[in-house]
Amino acid sequence: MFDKRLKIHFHWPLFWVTLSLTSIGLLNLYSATYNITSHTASSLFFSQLIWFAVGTLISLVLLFIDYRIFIRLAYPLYFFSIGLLLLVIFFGKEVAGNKNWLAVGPFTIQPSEFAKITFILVLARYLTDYPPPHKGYCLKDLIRPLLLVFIPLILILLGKDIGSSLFLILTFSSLLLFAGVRRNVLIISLILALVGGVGAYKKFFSDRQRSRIVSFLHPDADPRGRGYHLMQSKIAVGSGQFFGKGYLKGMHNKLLYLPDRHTDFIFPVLAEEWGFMGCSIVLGLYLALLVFGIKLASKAKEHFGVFLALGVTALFFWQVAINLGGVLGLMPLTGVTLPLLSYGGSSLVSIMIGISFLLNISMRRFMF
Amino acid sequence: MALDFSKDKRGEFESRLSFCLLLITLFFFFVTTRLFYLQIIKGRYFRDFSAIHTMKEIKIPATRGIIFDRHRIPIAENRPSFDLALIPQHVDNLAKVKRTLARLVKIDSSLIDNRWREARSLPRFYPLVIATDIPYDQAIRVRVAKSVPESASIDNDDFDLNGVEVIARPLRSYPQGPLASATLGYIGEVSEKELSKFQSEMPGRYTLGDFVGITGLERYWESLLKGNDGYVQKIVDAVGREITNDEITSFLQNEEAHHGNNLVLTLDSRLQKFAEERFQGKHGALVALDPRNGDVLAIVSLPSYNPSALVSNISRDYWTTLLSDPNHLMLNRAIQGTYPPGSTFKLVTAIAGLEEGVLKPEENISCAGGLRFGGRLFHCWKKGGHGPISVHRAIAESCDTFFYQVGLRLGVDKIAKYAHLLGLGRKTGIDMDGEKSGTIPTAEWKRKMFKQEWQPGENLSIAVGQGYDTVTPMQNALMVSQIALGRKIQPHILKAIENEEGTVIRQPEIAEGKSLPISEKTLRIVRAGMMDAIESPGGTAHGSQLNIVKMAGKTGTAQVISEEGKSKVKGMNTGDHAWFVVYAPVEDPRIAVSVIVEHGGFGASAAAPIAKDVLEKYLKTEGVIQ
Repeated sequence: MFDKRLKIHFHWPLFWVTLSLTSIGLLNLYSATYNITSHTASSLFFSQLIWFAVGTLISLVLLFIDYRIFIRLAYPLYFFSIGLLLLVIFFGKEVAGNKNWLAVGPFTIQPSEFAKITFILVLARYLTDYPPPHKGYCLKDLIRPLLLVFIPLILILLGKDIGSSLFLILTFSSLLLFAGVRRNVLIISLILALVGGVGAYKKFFSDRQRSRIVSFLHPDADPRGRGYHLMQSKIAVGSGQFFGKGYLKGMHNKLLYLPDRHTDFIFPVLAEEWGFMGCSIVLGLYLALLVFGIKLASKAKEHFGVFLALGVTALFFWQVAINLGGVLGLMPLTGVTLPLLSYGGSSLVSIMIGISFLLNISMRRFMF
Repeated sequence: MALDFSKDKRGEFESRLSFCLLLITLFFFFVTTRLFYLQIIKGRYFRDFSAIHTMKEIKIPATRGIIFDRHRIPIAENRPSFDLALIPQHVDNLAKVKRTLARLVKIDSSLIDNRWREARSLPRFYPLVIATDIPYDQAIRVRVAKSVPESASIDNDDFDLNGVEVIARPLRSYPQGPLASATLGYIGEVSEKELSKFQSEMPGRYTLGDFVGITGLERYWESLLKGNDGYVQKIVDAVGREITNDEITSFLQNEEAHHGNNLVLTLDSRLQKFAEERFQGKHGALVALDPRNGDVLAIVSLPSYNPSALVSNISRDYWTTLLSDPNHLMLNRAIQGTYPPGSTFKLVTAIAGLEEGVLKPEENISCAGGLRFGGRLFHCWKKGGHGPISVHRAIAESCDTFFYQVGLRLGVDKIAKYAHLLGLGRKTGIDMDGEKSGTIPTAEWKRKMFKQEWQPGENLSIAVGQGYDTVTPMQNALMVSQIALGRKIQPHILKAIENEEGTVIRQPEIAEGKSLPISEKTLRIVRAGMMDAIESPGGTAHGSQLNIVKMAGKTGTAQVISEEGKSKVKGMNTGDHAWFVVYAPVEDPRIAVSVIVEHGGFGASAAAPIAKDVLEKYLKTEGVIQ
């Protein structure tokens, strides 16, 4: 039986914004994978279409389920995703030096993408079970959430997926900071982050990942390597000017100057072909999506809904920020994808799941 | 401070959410500002970069390694040459470009069309070579035309060199003319299939249009000879001219080319040249080894091709000749030609007989001009017969009857055992491409190949090097070297590989080979027989005697039975092959030579004189004899 209020409170603007971004993403991906000599798009585009259909299906199912059921399901799902991450370590498939793929029939899935969502669920559950004391969490309160983040974090790092592990830490920190921590905890964690960052740089980062950071700090040191890619990225973006060169006419990306143009460098493809105008529209849609996320958090009825909405929004924000910051030369290139625009089935599906949580929270905010 | 969700503390919660909103908005403000900077303020500049001004990488081709002889005299080196190429990405108007080019250089415009069509499946920034090795003055004319500012060019309406490049490229040259061509091999443009193979094996080192070794040593040592190309990055404008503005060029990079490694061969180019000249007009092969260390001193295979003619602009006629000539010009006869060894094989039979004890050193076998076996008469070459003859004389005078008998006593497998010991029937393992192993039959081999049992009558044929026996000239040279020294020898043609600075980076290890499992007594008898083949008046090669130095050798005449029908040229492939294997000086062997003259007739008259001259020339230049 279907409650009428569900329909009344369906957040149509968020729905339309998401649909627009996804459509623009597919359109742009078609161009990025388009081969100018054979006049065909690569099979990547079609596989993304399939993933889009899969994501839509899952999201629809999720909309009919009260999200509060995930309070109970948070831990089982969390451990399930840990299991998947373990599978990756033993049976994973290596793609471009990173071993974080699992082959399921003809598809490859990236369990680390799903682990981000299950982690948000489990953290929201923890923050609901143990609401922050008046002065904020002290160190002792943080042992369990730290444990919760470290298990998937270590597993993801073992697969050399620096991007996903970064988002795990950022989402975790954002949510805890929002919930409130004591000042001494803040200072200690800042120091730990610094030490940990340097340690990770030395221990876990591959040469390729290290060179990205080096080339950001010293762009002249290696113009053929990552610095060269950043230069090409800036040329592609800048050459779009105000109106862009037109759809499928971005010669800079078509002539293969841009590396990984269907994943990390998807935004320069858009910027080259649609210019400042197109970029502003896409940025506006991203901003709208994030603002809706925050607004929904403020309207949620209980802790779980607040933290779930905030978690999804934080994850989304950090992915957008780190990708755009990287390709536009505002921060080092980290090799992360842009939500809803980059190629990547698992990423697309997990983001659609996240957004359907937001829609879900909106739909059920007046139900008691 | 922590959150309190009770109604009255709602304010704290709201203010944190507002703070988040502020952060997000701030970030989007930064990104938009950045985009505004890149796309609006610097947009024109980046547009120029991507469309009008293009960054190009100009390849600095690495110079291919030089091939030296043992005295560091170059046999294959490099000369500068110029190619014309089109970069499809930069060509706006092909017809106009073709008209402009036609005024400047001599070029076949249908060839341009062909290449243009072929290149459709390739990325548009790949240079498309449309003319190779154009004359120097024409190359200069194009370069000058490209560097004249647009306003100054005479007829702007019909001038377009967009996408035209003059590429300087070192090309192979052969300072001594064609020398050891079949062994050195030649180089040519890499095929698409080979290219993908090279690119997956050695990423980054090969691009379309590169020249690679196609055959011979050039191919065998390709990865070492090639070198690593360098590059210069340039910014060029809409008409293909370079921009030198500091602001634009500051981030460009250059990388020097690293030249290929040089090969130092064991060949003696003077001896090689002498041997090839001595061979002129004949077909066949010659191998000269230094038996002490296995150095290949000379390796002749004639007729052959002219590698200079294959360097660039190969005429269609020449290709047709190369591919259709019945004389197999591309074949390296010295290691790829397999011939029946004829009487040179009697050395193997003699050693096998003596070692297996079926033949006593002093034993005389009677020769009445042939041997009747299985209802068939096997002739000796000497119609009247040799009478009673010992192994020593049988080698010197090459008595067939004697070796028929020994062959019968031994049987095929024992003969094969010693043939293998002496290096026949298997690859010598020389450091060259495409070596053949020849055939030394065994009973087992015949069963596998023909599903038939070995016939006793066949023992007679193989004992004198006919029947299934085939060897390469290299194997025969190795055999005679090993008999001369009684040791295993590894023939090799590479003396050293040195890098572009001339430092030796690789050198084959030459270990003293193990002694052959053949008694010194047997070897002494065989060597004495070989010496008398030349030194005694009754010897088969007495005519090639050298008074100043004692040689030991064996003639051979290999019957050519079935080739006549196969030949396209009538009367070409008839007549027996003439063999001669020899080493000298007898007391301290310094050189071993094996010669085959195809359809030359008798070994003694056709092959032995050449071998003798080459041997004499070498011993003289080495100062062994005056």
